[in-house]
Amino acid sequence: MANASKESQYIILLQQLEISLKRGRYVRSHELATRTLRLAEKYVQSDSWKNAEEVMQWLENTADRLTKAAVSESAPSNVLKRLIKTVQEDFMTRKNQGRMHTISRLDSDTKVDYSEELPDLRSDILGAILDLSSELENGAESIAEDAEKHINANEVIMTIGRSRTVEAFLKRAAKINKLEVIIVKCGPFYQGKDLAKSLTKSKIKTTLINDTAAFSMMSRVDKIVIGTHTVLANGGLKAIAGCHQILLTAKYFNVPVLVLAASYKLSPEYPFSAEMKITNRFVSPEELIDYKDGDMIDNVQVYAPVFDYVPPELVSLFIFNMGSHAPSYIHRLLHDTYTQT
Amino acid sequence: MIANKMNQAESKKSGSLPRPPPSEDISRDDVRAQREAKKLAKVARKNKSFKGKLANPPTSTSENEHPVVPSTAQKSLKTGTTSRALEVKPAEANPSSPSVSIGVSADLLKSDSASSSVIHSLFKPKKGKELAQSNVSKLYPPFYNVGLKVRNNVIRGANSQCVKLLDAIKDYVRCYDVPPGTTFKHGLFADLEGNMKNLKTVCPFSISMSNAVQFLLFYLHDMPDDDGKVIDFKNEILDVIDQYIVEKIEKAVEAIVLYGLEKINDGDKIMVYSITEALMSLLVKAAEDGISYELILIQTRETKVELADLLEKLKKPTSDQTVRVSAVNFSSALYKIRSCSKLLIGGHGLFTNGGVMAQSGSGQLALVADTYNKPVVFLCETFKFCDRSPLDFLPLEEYMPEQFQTEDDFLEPKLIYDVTPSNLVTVVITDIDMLPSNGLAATLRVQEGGTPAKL
Repeated sequence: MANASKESQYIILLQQLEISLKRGRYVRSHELATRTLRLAEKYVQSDSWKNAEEVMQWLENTADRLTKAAVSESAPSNVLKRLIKTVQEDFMTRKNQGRMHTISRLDSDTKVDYSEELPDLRSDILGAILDLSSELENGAESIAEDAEKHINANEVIMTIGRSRTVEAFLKRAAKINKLEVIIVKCGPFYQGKDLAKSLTKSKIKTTLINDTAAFSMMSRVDKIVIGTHTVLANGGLKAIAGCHQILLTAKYFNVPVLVLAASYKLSPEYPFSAEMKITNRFVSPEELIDYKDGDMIDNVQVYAPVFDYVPPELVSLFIFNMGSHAPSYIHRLLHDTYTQT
Repeated sequence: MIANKMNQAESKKSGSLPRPPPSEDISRDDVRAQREAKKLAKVARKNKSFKGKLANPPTSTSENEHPVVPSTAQKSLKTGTTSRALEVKPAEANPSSPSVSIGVSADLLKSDSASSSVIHSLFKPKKGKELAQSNVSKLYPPFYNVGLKVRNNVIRGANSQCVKLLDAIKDYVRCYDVPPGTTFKHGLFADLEGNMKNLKTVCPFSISMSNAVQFLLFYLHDMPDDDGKVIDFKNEILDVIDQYIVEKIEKAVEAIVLYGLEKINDGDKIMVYSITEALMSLLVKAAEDGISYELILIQTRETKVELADLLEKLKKPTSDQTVRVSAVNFSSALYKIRSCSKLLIGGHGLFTNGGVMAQSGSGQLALVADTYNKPVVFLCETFKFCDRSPLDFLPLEEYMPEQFQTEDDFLEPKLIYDVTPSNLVTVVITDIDMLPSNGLAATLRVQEGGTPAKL
């Protein structure tokens, strides 16, 4: 009875998540990651699996399923793929517990049989999920701890759009040093204004400029600090539209660029093309053209992509919640976070 | 005695005459006020050591602020605190006024922070260049009309602004009566110059407008001093103005179109920004000549009107599919830049250092196009050449400081124009030839007569 309800619990959660992704009710990556993690937790608590291999199979299938539901959102599949690696590690730890030597490397040549049933594996995996969920919750704060290292007194920082991580970062830095922030409000959503209001409440001097004015203001900027939607496997970014050209301008003026990203944003996907037609989202351009101007644009094709691809050479430093790295180091992080499949 | 202590605290800080002691009894409000005064003095002392100056002369900076000093000078202590909290805007408060001291500690901190903000101080209106309405009475009404329209962006585009201004000047000349004791030439010169100076306080002059006015004033200056018939003089000036409009504006646009047609070929994909009259005419003529090209418009919120205009003119070719049009938001220009063959930008002015002034965002697009190795073509008539060399947008007078919103303490400047550095520009198409962007000086050496305005 209890087992059946547990099983149906995770199935229900999965269906809900899938439907909200398919319907385009996109929310922040953070919320998607949390929901996915809860779903995985319910699955692990249930009795639907017997050994590590089944867990990993389920994780992989669910990751594929969620990716198919919404190609542009990578957070759910990132979380699940990370869990695959955690399960593997836990399995190896359990297995080698009796022996004296260290945990065998997962990229060793010996084929490991994951279908061996280990009794305490369930509690191990649940513990790992708990760790991961607390990491998710505290992501923004742990990134913000680095704020004082990177931001000095009286600096002018530029940021693009609205990122909660950047908000926490800047507020933390403002407690220690005076700083000024220039916010570029970027289409198609123009969320910069909310960030401006929030920052001025924390007594940070803010200026809000249009994305057209970024080139004019760039010579006065000391650093750029941005958040991103996804960090791609080559060290590039999938960030909101407008980031690429602003970071190009930053390169032209030699302004260093800091990218803040929590670990669930790191994706093992490579970009297929610079325009990213596959993994991009296109929204209604109603922010720019009203419906009442409809006859003006009768024969005009209007595009409003949400994301932009930023190549890795435009980024100076990544700050994850597990440390700061250069874009060239991303491959090692990937190796540590995800398995080679 | 507490009141005296308060006065001392204020005078120590402000260095001005101590206020007469209040007539109310010493109450809890007074004690609170005294505490705040002490806090204020401490802040002031900290500011002095930190910055070396207090939050300074607010006369030039408090554009938006009501005149706080006179109205509150009479207010009593008790009511002063609460009313001032509502009244004084977050912009600079006036620290040197003794009556605006109590309860303004929070404002002072804010004003201190606002004045020491590097970016905010960039946008402070320059002293003496504030746009005021005080000279309106001395201004000839049609001028004021034009000025208001330009200021509120009703007349858009450098060419139409110039033409409307010249029309107003023609009207002025027609109705001009020579004042006694001076000749027609001197009188008109002085009055016209005075009017233009006043007009500059109402609306910012675009380069085309300044150049036109300068040309006219030079012409007046060079006119012979004879005392001929006034009506002849007037007709001569009206003719000169008409000739200027035809030669420098209308024919110039046609010449640019002729040169520009060489650059638009069948199958081209052209990205377009900063739409001016020359650019529009070029695209329309190319469509009428049957060239089949694809147009990629860059949209921003501010340029809806020009885009609508352009699309209206291109209605026939677009519906016949000879010209295919797509539009993309400014932030996503990169999405389309790879498939473009060139970037066309309409210019508002050309400077001696090769910088080109166009709508805000052109610099960014020029950089993007340059990165992907696409040619960047500017269209600029010669009458928009200007004898300045601004390195960025700040020396340009064409933005209106007082239109900046300052709600909730953050600044939201409206930057309308910017300067594209010359190394990002491939070629500038003008009515005399296709030039590299630093060809201004050479052009003017060769050209006779016309000197660009020194602003």
